[in-house]
Amino acid sequence: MAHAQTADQASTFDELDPHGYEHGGGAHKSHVIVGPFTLRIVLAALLIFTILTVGQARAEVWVQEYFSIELPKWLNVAIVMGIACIKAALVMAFFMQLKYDNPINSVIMAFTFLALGLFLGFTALDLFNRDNVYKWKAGEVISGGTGAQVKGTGDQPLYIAARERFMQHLSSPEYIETWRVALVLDNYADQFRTRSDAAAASEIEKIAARLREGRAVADPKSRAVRMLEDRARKVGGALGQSLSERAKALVTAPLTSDTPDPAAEYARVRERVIHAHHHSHEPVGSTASRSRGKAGSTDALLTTDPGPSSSQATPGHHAPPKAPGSQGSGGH
Amino acid sequence: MDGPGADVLAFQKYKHAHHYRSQSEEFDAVKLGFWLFLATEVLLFGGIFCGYAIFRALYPEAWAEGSSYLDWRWGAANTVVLLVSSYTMAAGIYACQTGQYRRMRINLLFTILCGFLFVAIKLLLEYIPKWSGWHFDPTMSHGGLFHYVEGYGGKRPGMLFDYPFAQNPQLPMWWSIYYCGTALHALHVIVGMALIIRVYVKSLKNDYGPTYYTGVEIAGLYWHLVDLIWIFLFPLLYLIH
Repeated sequence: MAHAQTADQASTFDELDPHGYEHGGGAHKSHVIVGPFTLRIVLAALLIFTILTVGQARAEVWVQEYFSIELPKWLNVAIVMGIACIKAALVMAFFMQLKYDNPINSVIMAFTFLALGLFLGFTALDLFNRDNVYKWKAGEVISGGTGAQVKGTGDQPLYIAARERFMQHLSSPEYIETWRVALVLDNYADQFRTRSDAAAASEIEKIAARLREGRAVADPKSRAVRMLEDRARKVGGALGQSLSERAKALVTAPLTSDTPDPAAEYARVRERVIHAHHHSHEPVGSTASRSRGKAGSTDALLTTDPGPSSSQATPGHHAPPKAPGSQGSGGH
Repeated sequence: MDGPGADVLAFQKYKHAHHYRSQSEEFDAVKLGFWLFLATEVLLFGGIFCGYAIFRALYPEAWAEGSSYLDWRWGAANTVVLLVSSYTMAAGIYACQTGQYRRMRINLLFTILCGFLFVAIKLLLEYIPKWSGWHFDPTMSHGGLFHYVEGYGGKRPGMLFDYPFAQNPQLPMWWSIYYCGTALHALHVIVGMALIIRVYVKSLKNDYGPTYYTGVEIAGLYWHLVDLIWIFLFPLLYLIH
């Protein structure tokens, strides 16, 4: 450590060491130490900006729902990206200490963002001006983005293939068997309800719901019996007694020979999935009213999906709600 | 602190590499090099941001649908986690510069903890439910925190896509961008945690102090970059609808 050399630092100029590295005293001598007070102020500002940006996005959704007006899309984008840029500047200036650092580091970052801007800018220039050069090229990019699968299901778009796989699952023996067992449980619940034993009825309904929501298994009957017995052991008493009786009855209970309607099942599962998405932060009821602009244009979870029509009870080709490739044609 | 007779701490014996004139010069050079590396990192994510911008412009409806599947609360929680951890990292550097070793270690540990929290939220509350259908919802389940909802999963990128209720053909594309962006970012979080753990372990051996803190500062810069990227990923994915 060269502590002693600091005194003559100003008086001498070494041509071989113009920045005074050798005369600079101990390491980090010239570096500014950013104190905790500044850091805390910056953290507070960052958190406030986070609240603002989330609040803005939520408020926009609320305003559109409540007053059924459509705010311009760029507003949301401009505000959240503006706030993101302010936050990024704060992090770089104070946490990363560019404000106090050698300016060359800021220059590097400035050029990086310039490069990023060129990257995005030229891409946009190309993308949005194809039809100015050759009219026939306008649709070219879009045709590649139909979501078509490269292999596996031929030309079928991925999302249609996913839908059909699910329809096949709804007609699988496991699913049908599970559905039948759940029907028996529904019957049991009804019997308890007519005997005004609401506690037992709701216990059995819960197990039926679990059976329906869960993954379809090969032997749903014994699974249901197990669930009934588990529950009986847990609750005990008279309630446990009636549950374990039902478990015994279920072992020999005959199942219906009916099969579920795949289209109806599809609609039912879809409702449940939407419910799971919006369960704790948005009541399902309010989602129906949440539409922006043209019907079916944006919030896909919330627009009415025709799904497979009931005439197509067997899994086969289901018409997509929109023709593949029609998306985005109005995008620019 | 380093008066005659006192124990000499490891960082006080640090000697800069021979091709530098002083430790100060070494510090500046290391930092310059690291900023150049950070520039390449920004450009790496720039490619993903560019892809996002292109496909959002082409398929706004698919992007709106995709965004509606994300829960802004988890995104906001992760934003707060990263911002707070960025602060504790900066506070750790300050503590190191002023020779408050205990305070530095506490701040570093807290930063590492935040990293784990971020990855846990990302993995348990976002990736796994979307991918498999095991959905975190204690209010909905009949016991247990995770709850399998049939048809909920399958929100996977590209070829792996298997969500039966999609409305837009380009939804698999949205998930590709989502997983590319967030998983690459999560990978950076993990690397950043590894760097900070290394710094923490070295700090136990008193390798860092007021006269030598280059390693702490570099790990801090990396961690702040991770925060910086998330500051943009969060609104792009969760807030623009």
